[in-house]
This record gives sequence, structure tokens and C-alpha cells, in this order.
Amino acid sequence: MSEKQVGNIIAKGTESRGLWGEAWHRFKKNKTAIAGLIIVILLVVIAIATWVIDAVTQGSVYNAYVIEQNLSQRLDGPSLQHIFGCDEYGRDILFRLLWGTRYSLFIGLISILIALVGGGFLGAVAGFYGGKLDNVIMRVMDVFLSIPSMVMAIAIVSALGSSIFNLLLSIAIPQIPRLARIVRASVMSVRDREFIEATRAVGASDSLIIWKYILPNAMAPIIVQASLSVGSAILSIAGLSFLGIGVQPPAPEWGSILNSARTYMRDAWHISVIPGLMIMITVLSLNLAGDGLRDALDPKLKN
Amino acid sequence: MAFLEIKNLKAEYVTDEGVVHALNQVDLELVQGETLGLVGETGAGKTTLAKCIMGLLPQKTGKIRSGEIYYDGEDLLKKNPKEMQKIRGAHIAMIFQDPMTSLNPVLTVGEQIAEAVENHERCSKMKAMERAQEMLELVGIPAARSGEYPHQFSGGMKQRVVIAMALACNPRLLIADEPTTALDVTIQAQVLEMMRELKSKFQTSLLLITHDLGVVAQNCDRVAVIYAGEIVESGTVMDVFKRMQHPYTQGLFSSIPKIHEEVKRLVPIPGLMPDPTSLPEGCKFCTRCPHADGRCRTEEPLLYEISPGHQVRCFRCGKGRCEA
Amino acid sequence: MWRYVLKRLILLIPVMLGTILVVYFIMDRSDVDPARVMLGEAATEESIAELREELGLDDPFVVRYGRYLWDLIHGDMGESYTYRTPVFDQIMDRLPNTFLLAGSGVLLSILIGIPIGVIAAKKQYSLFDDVSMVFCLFGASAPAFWVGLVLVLVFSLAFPIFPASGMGKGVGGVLRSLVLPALTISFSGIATAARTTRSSMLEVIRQDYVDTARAKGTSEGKVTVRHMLRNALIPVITAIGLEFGVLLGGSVLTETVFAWPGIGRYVIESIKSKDIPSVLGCVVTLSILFTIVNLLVDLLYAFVDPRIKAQYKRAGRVRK
Repeated sequence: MSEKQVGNIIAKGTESRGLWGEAWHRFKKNKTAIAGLIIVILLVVIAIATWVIDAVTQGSVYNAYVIEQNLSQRLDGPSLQHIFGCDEYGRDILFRLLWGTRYSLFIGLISILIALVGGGFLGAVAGFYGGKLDNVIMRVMDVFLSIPSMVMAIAIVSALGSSIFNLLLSIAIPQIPRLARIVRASVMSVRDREFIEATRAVGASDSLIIWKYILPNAMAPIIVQASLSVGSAILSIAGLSFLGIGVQPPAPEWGSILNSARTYMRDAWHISVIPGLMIMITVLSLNLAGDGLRDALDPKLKN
Repeated sequence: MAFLEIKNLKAEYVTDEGVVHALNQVDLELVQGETLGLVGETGAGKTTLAKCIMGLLPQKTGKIRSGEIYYDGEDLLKKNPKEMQKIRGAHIAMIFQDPMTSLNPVLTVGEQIAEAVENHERCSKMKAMERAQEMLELVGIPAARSGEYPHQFSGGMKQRVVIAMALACNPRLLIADEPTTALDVTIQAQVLEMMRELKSKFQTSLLLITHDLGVVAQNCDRVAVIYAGEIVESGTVMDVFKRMQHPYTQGLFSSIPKIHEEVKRLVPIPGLMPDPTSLPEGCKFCTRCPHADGRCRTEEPLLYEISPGHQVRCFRCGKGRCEA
Repeated sequence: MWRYVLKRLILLIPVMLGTILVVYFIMDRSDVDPARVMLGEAATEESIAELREELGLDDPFVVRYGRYLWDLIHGDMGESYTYRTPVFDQIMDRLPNTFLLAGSGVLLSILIGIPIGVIAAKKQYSLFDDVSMVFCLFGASAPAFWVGLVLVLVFSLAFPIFPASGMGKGVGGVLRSLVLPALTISFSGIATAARTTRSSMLEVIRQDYVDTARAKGTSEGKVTVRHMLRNALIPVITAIGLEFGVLLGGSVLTETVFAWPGIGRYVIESIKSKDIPSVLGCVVTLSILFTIVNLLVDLLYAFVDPRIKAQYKRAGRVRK
């Protein structure tokens, strides 16, 4: 078999443009998924914009509007001037929410990326080699799976402290076994297909085969799972911050705002309602986009 | 007298892709104790017809547009769901195509047969189970296996269970939708033989749906040929097998091998069955018919009775017909 | 079958050892020095070193882990720094409360979620279907603790029907104070159960055996429960089992919101006071609970699906 023929078989097996093009075509028709995607993009834009503003103004806007206390308007309800009202230190909640976007999105995305790298590696190795190695890896994953993810996150943060890096770890590690399982299953389903054998026949190395041929073909379910995990990661961060062991005040993380709001529930309902809505909308749009992605990539799974 | 009479039945499925005209003109009669074979290609509307009689068309998509189905002089289409529920199983029972999927995997076969009995007879669970075990013995399965689950039976055995279930309440009419298609040839013969015996034992009438002409020749008294949702020819087995008049029936017979005649080459019917979402005007067969002329493409032919009991839907058999 | 259960119970041991190892390893990374905490701020370096020696804190990790395990088997989880009492007793005091909360959460998920899913599937594309699926989308996306806050705002502050926090006295009082936490903790469970039931039912609804059941004159209600739901149950059980893990984690949040005297609240308290043995004990307890629930879920499959039961029987026989 010539190199070119192998290439053809591989190309046939990959069908990468066809698959993604087709998926995008189906995704476009899904109105709720598009709505979710638009909101997610909007949130990303907000996160980046606040970042840029901080960089350009050297944090002066951040300090003036997000951090600085103004006790004269303490616990003010929503008004024209402050449409979401003010918190217990008189800070505008709208500003705090906008500046808080980056924590949820950043930690959510990065932690899932870490989990994807870790779970992807373990799952790919286990699925590709099978046998004893597979057995050992998956048993270890079973152990991790039998610790509820929030409980493990709490354990990690309480032992290591709540720096951003530790937060990322505490969210990422519980997600690793789930992603590893999915990667393993999709790698196994691709592993024995003909074009892989053809690649092997022309003498490609294992890592090349995994990287170049197996993973791209096993990508669809992995991406779907990862995109749906970002939502639950964001819920975990908010939960940890709400418990006071996540992002620390005065940083305007949404869950942390809710934590301090609890004390003032009687006097200022808006502080405990609005940040929660923000979290829900973020997670909801991520889930909608993720569900849409799943339906687009695998129409058989729909309903 | 015909105790099942279907008149001018039209049914369709409304789907996102369009309206599927599954049944367009179905007229059928079934006499007590008789076996009627319903023959046609996949997609001709055989299963839809069976589901119409049972009142089991999918609620959301299936629609009966017109027609009547008389059972003992009463129109089944006018009955409410509760009344139909009493008729199903007790008066009219049905055997589905694929025995592998027509049994509930989480109930024992005994429970499933007993359920049919409990549905229609006032009796204790014990009595129903006893009856279920009798039925199993009757189809050649030891009563002791009534506590086993479907996955513990082979395909042929499962079909026996399904038959036992259908006959458990001694129905007057049994509709068998391709009962042997999914089975091995040797098992097919056994199952058919058993059905024949049970039918005469219980004096059940049988509507046998199949695409296998051999099965029809062996089992049926009368035959109806269905094409694109229309009965195109019906009559006794002799009428249809020896004196077939409709070009589709003729095509059907020349496309199967005959063992006693030396035929150099089988003659298939050219073309495919028309798309049921957009049927041709006029005669539904005109696109594939070697005899089609202008009239066939504009006007729909009626069922013409060419001899007592032998009806053909073709202009060539109508008044002033031309000889084939 | 029982042989299989036994086998699974034996297999549970390495998983639990592994789980405890992971948790112990994580908590061991903590920079809190137990000796320093126990002796207080005023302690001298020498006395601290002495206590460390005495407690065996400088032993290799494996030795300490082995010792922890050995003590754990004897129901000893160490002593709480804050309460100066055995952690085991503290946990046993609170465990029934967490059980009550998590159990009612699961019960509500089943009793509300499954019927919603069944009706939505049977009336696909109807108004009920649309409304309940939108509810499920929101339910799965809303942070549980926030749902709790909103419930308190509405049902304790705006309309004082249920208490906002704590656990009432007597059966009536307990039940009254249980309502809001249980609703909070089951919110996402209801959504998950309803969604899974619906999609699993939609798969089953088209099966041939459903028509077979109708063809023998079975009533629609019986067809739905006996023939559809029973076959649709496996994925639902899986989802609810997984949800139980989320729920145990969620109990930490819910108990904090409602000041419910369970393990979840205890763990947060202990983290804040750097009470490491207590945190470790709580995390170990919650993980063991989840492991046992996972096993129960696996065994439950056998009662729902005879094919799985047959598999289990075979698995029990081979490795005799």
C-alpha cells in the first residue's frame, strides 16, 4: 500500500472538515443553542473588556468602582443610578458582577482544560494500550470517582489553601476521571478501525497514531463532555467561594458576593438574588450551547 | 358472510418531511374461519393496514382519512379507546414481525401471556398463570419455562411465545404481520405448521401478511395483493396464482423462480415503488406498467370484478377491456 | 446472585482503601502543624518537637497512613482540635441529620422527577413537555445554595411559613425545618431525574413490545408503567445514583445555608478552625457513603433488569 493510499484512507476516516462543517450546519438551525452561544460569547467579551480596561487604566477603574467603599449608599436597592443596587459597602453591584465574570469563566475554562489534558492523556493511554495498563489506570479513576467532586474540591482547598492555582486544581482533579472515561471509550471505538491499521502498517509510532489519527477522530464526544463540564466547574467555583474557601473578598466573584449577601438578606434582597441569576444564566447558556453541540455532532443522540 | 369488512380505507402519516399516503384505497373482506393472505412489497402499506384494524396507528402522526372497518357489523373506527382495548386481544389479536423485539425484556414470558388473560377474563393471577402455562405447552414449550425471561429463548421459541400470547384469549381474528420473516427457513416451516394447527383448533380466522408467495400458496384460502396502499387484485389462491390479471401481480410472479419450469432468466418489475409522499396521478402502477396508456396516467381505475370473488384494479379488466 | 454481592463487597475494600489514601494524602499536604495547634501559640519549639515525636508526625507517610487506617477500623478518627472530643463521635452525632437531608433529597427527586419525565415523554411537544423541560434546564443550571437563598427569601422572610435555619424540635418541627433544605438539595436532582426519564422513555415508547402489550388489550396506564417505565428505568437509576454524589457534595452547601446540623456544616466549620482531623474524618465518611451508594445502585440494576441479574449470576459463578 503506498503512502498516498494510506493518506486517502486516513482522510476518509477523519472526514474532519465534513464532520465539523455538517455539525455547524445543524448547530445553526438550533435556536436555543445559538442563543446560548451568543450569551457565552458576550460573557467572554465582558471578561476580556474588563481586563483590557484594568490594563489600560492600571486598575484605577477597578479600584474606584469595584473595590472602593462608599458607605453612604450602603445596601441601596436597584435604582436608575445603580440598576442592580449596591452591596453592604455601597459598591455598585452591576460593576462587581461585570468584573466578576472573569473569575467564573477563567477558572471554569482553565480548570476544564487542565482536566482535559490530564484525563485525555490517561484515557488515551488506557484505551489505546488496553490490558493491564488500562486496568490499573481505570481502577485508580474508580477510586477518584468514588469521592464526590465537591467534597474532593473542599478537601484540596482546605489542605492547600485557596490560591487561584489550588482552586484550579480542586476543580480540575475531580473532573479528570469523567473525561478519562469518555476519552478511553472513544479511543477504543476508533482504535480498531481500518484506517488505524493502515497507518500502523506504514510504520507510524504509537504516539503519532494517538495524536494525529485517533484523538481527532474521537474528538466529538470529548468536546461535548468538556463543554458541558465547564458549567459544572463554574457551579463548583461559585459554591467554594460561597463557603468562603474559594476566591476571597474583596474580589467580586459571584459566589463570594452571595456569601456576604447572606447576612443582609432581611434588608437587601437584591444582593442575594442578582448574582445567583448571573451564575444561572452563565451555566444555562453553556449547557444550551453544549447540548446543541452534542445534538449537532451526533444527531442520533437527540432525545 | 364476511365478519371483517374494510371499505374504502385511507390512512396517512403526517411527518416533518411531508404526508405519507400509506393507504389509499383498501377494500377487503374476510370470511369466518378463512385465511386471507395480504401480499405486497415492503412499504406497500401492509403493516399500516394491520395497525388500522387494531386501532394502533401512532397517535401523533397516524391519521385515518376515510373508510370503515366493520367487525361483526360494527365499525371499529367509531369505537372509543376503552372499547377498542376490550376488543384487542380478546376478539382480534396480532403477531408482530420481529419476535426478538416484540417481547418485553424485563417480564417473564409467563407474566406476559398471563397479562393477556388478566386483561379480558375475571380471574386470579394464579388462574391466569395456569392458563399461560397451558398456552405454552400448546405451542410446544414446557410449562416449566414460564418463569424464564425472553433473553433465555431463541428466535423461533420467542415467536411461539408471541403466538401463545396472541391466542391466549381465543380471539376470532388473528393478524399475523410477517410472522416468519425474521426466522430461519427450517423454523419458519415449523412455526407456520403450528399456526395452521392452532388456527383450525381454535377456529380462528387469519389475516396473514407476507411478501412470500410460497407461504401464501401453502396457507391461504384467499389472497389480496397490495401495491402503494391500494388493493390491486384479490381473489382465491387459484384466481390470483393461476389467472392473475393485474400487471403488478403478473410481474410479481415472473420475478420469482419456479422450480418446475425452466426459465432462463427472472423478469424483475422495472423501476421502484413510487414515493408515498408524492404518488403519481391516475393508476399508482402506471410508472412501472408495460401496458400503461394515457388514461392510466390521468384516471384512477376501480376494482373490477372479473369473475365471482376475483377483483382487479386495472382498466384492461373493466368494461370494454382489451386482452392482454 | 448473593455470591456476586459478596464479591462486590470484597472488591469494595481496595476502592475504599484507595479513596481513604487519596483523601489522606490530600489532607496531609496541609501546612497546619497539629502539634502547634494542640499546644497553642505560647508553646516552645522544643515542646512542639517533643509532641511531634510522641504523635509520630515525623514518621514516613506510609506509616502514618497505616496507623490512620488501623485506628479507623477501630472507629477512631482522632481527636477534634476544637471540641477536644473524638471526631468519630462528632460525626456520628451529625450523620443521621445528613442522612435525613440527603435521603429526602433523593426521595423528592424520584417522586417528583420521574413522573414529570414520564408525562413529558408521553405528551412530547405538548405545553407540559415544553414547560417542564425549561424548568429542568434552569434546575440543572441554578446553583443549589442560591436556590436555598431564594427559598428563604420567599418562604421565610416574605411569607414566614418555614424556618430559615436550624433544625426544629420534635417530629413536626424537624419536618417543618426540613422542607426548604430538602427542596433546595433536590432541585437539580429533580431536573436530572426528569430529563433522564423523559429521554429514556422516548426511546422505549417506540419499542415493538409496547405495541405488543397494547395489542393484547392492556390499558394505557399499565402499558406506561409496566412496559415502558420499567424498561426505561436503568439510565434513570444511574443518573440518580450519580446525583447522590452531587447531593452529598451539595449537602455541604445546603447545610451551610440553612445551618442544618449535619456533616457538611461540620466540615466547613472545621476548615475555618483548621481542625484537620475533623475535616479528614468528614471527607472520609462522605466518600465511604458514596462508595456504598454506588454499590447499591449497581445491585439495584439486577432487580430491574433480569438480563443484568443473569450477568451478575454468571460473574458470581466464574470467580468462585
